Amino acid sequence: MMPVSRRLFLQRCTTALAAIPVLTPDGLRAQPLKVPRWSVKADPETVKQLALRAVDAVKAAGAEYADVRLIRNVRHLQWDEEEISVGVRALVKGAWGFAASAVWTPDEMRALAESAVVQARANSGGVREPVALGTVPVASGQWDTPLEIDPFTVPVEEKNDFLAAFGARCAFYKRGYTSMGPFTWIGRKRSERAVATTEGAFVTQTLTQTPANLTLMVKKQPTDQGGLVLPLRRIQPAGRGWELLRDANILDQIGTLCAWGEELHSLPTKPFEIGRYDVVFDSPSMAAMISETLGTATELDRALGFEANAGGTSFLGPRPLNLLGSLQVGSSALTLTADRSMPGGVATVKWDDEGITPTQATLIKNGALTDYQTTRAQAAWLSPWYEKRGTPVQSHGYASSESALFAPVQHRPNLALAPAAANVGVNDLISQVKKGLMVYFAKAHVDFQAKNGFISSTFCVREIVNGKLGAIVIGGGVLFNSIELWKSLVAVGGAASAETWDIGTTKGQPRQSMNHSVSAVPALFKNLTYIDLTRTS
Amino acid sequence: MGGGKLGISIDSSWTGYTRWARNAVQISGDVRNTPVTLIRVIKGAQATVISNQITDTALDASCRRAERVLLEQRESFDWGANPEFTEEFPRPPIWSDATYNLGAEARANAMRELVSSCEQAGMLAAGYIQVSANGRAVMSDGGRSLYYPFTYAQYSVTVRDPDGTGSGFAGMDHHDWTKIDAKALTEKALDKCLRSRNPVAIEPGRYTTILEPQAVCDLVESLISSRYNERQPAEYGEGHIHFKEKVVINPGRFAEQWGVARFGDRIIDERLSLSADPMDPELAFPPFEYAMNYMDENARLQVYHPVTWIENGVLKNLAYPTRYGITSLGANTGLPTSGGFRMTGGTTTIDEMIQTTRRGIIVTRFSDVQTVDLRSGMVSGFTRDGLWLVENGKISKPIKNFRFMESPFIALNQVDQIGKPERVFHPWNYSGVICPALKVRDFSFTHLFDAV
Repeated sequence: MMPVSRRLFLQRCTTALAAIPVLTPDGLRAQPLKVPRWSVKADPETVKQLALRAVDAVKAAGAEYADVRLIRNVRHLQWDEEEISVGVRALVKGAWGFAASAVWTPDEMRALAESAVVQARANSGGVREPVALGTVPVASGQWDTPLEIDPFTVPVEEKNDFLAAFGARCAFYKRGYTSMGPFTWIGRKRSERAVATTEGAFVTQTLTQTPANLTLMVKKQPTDQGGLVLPLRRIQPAGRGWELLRDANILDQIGTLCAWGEELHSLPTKPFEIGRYDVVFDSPSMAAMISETLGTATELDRALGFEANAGGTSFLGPRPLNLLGSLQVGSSALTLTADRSMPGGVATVKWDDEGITPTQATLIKNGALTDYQTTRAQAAWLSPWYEKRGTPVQSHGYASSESALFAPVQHRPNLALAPAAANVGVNDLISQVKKGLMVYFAKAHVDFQAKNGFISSTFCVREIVNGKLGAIVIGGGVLFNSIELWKSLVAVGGAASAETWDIGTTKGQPRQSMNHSVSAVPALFKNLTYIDLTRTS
Repeated sequence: MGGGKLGISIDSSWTGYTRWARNAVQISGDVRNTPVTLIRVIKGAQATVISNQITDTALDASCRRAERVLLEQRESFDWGANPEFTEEFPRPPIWSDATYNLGAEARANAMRELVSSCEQAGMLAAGYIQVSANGRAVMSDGGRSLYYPFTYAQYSVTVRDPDGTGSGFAGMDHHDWTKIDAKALTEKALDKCLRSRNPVAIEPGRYTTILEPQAVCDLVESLISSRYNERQPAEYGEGHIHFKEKVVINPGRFAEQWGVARFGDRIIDERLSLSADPMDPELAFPPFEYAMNYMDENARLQVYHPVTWIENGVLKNLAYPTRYGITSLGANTGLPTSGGFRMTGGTTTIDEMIQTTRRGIIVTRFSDVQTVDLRSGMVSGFTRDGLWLVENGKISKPIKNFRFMESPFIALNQVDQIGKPERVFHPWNYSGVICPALKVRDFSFTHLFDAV
């Protein structure tokens, strides 16, 4: 609880708080409700005993290897949700079996362990390629997302005051023209995870996030129904506590964004012309482009056909070993790394859901394909490549699961587009363009191999003429082939221009969802194809 | 805290699945869960709490938590004195012992048999069998409670050439596993894979297109999703539908423009009808919604009754939430859509469609379909898992995939021939789709792309 920050915030608002007609029967606020924190006993010792019981039972049932997850997920978004789950994954004669439920009792641990082995045994007749897990260090320990202010200790009244003050401040900038934008919310998420393996690993983690979406709206005329919706920045990544909102400099951002909105409203607009352009994309556009194209394509299981009946495959397949080290997927300005240690990253953990410490992977180095995203069993599929390079054959630690009701699969980790060494800003990139476009907040829609796609912005595109931003351009988008796109990358911004964004993905059967953070810099591409997908112009 | 209302919904489930790829089982699973949604309403302010624990302590904690959450809610809409769910609900027979008994061993045996033909042909199969048994229960503090058990099964398979030059897909869902002919589906996917290898490029453009039933489902699905099939407030005129559009007039600026059609207007080909009935003997589905879909519904039950959306091309009904029903129609309920549907209209076989095509394209399915323009209904996506050129009454060669850009409203007004309806793969919300193949004129394929 940070009363100081709340008072400080309110002092700086020169308008009265909007009254919030909440239901506050007298007497209720005065007495804090005693809400039982736990719907089940989930103290560390209980969880450990349950996990070890499952491990013992699955060994006794005959598994060669097994891992157990006990996970408690809490999400306070538009509703209040708590999910308790436990899952056992067992390997018997090279085949996997999995059993999971919502019951945390010692008897259930044994039942699930035995069921997982039964499942695995049923599958062992259909094994084709052996599962090679290799050896990993046996992990043990506890880790929490580093937080300054635990968002779960911030009272709802303070959160409501924050949002009300935010709305008031937005409205105050220019009465009738500016206001809080749609879909503004602040949430909090916590995942308490215990992972135990038959190799003796036991790790517990408490992962906390403060996901939030703050937008403001700027109208051109007060009588307009809608207006320009501008999202606030620096409130992603969400893998931090309430300090994320405190430190996001929201009051200054409101001023800057409202001014930007007014500027955009004052600009002339013109329909776009089909053609080839040099294009500068801002940081959020680059984050979307990187994750959708190369983030998707470097998932090794996709490349090898393991997701063929679900999300699809990858243009970096079907034989990754033939492509590693020889295929140029982009220009020399492109270096893409993956990791799960990014401070505040939403995929940041100390151990993955197989109990393995994640390692950084350089997926693309100066445009050359150098690695894929892997889990423990998957690392072995690339062993000829790793041995050739003299690097260890080991998982990158990207196994993850939405809850223990799902078997872990490889999910996209945090990604980072390497910035330029020099201090290059988006204006420097714009100044290099004679005839081109500046694209803000774009999204990429790719095909099921991430091979081709279309990038479009529903926010804003401006023309660039002789190094200067000009009129707003309506319609159209970039049609691309992924490799051609990234080979057209000419320059990227410097480290100071990097921003981090939160992107969600779904994968697997049954489908499960995870999030990852992407740190991206703005960038300049040469000679991209800009067309109208609807062909109405 | 006293007063107000309480609604509870529980969707307990057992799910068994087996997943394979590269002709080998990857994993099979047995998962049980009991999500409980608790909705507490006081004077129109609503709090929703979701948990999956059903002990007394947990339920008590959820209730207290809901009351705590209520403190930050506003009173929104006056639901008035409308009583709780009083309507009778249909009781479709959607429990199948065969589905319930399809355990890991049975699934693994089925999978091994199914994969063998793909292996022999030198192809790689990736597939998924999932069965589930669900108990859906809702209860209000008025004492009314409903419980409905049902099973659900799905099968899908993608067969690919190891060099990545060909791919085929087939799938189906049904509450009864014995109604899914997995062997026939696998043979179909394998055949498509073999015949789709080494495709050639042809010019994008408008083509006479034979859409197999799966492709029709993938295209038309957007009509049944809430955006189009949504009735708007009465101040815009009774019986009008409004395609609310986010038009980019100036950058990022949203305004709402209305397209209008009336009930009684013919909006698609007069041979086509679109309906949904939970008692449909071939397309039965659970007769009421799970709580997550009615969090804004004041803890009211959403029951699915038989409804005809479009009859002989004429617009008959549109879905609406309870709130609209209460304010605009003097009703006590909403008219929800389960997302599944039956489309009927003809008897022409796909072979007959091919034989009567001088030059055209035949499509297996569409993938990654996204809405591009709400006013016209324009959607865009990709063809996938088998695309062929038809010339002079025969399939002549496999062709490279296209991005398409088309509106179901336009396509369904350019129908030449209509097939016999069959059930396809649509395992969302336990509500499937039965639709025919369609031969459509001038279907718009806009860009070539060589993903396989």
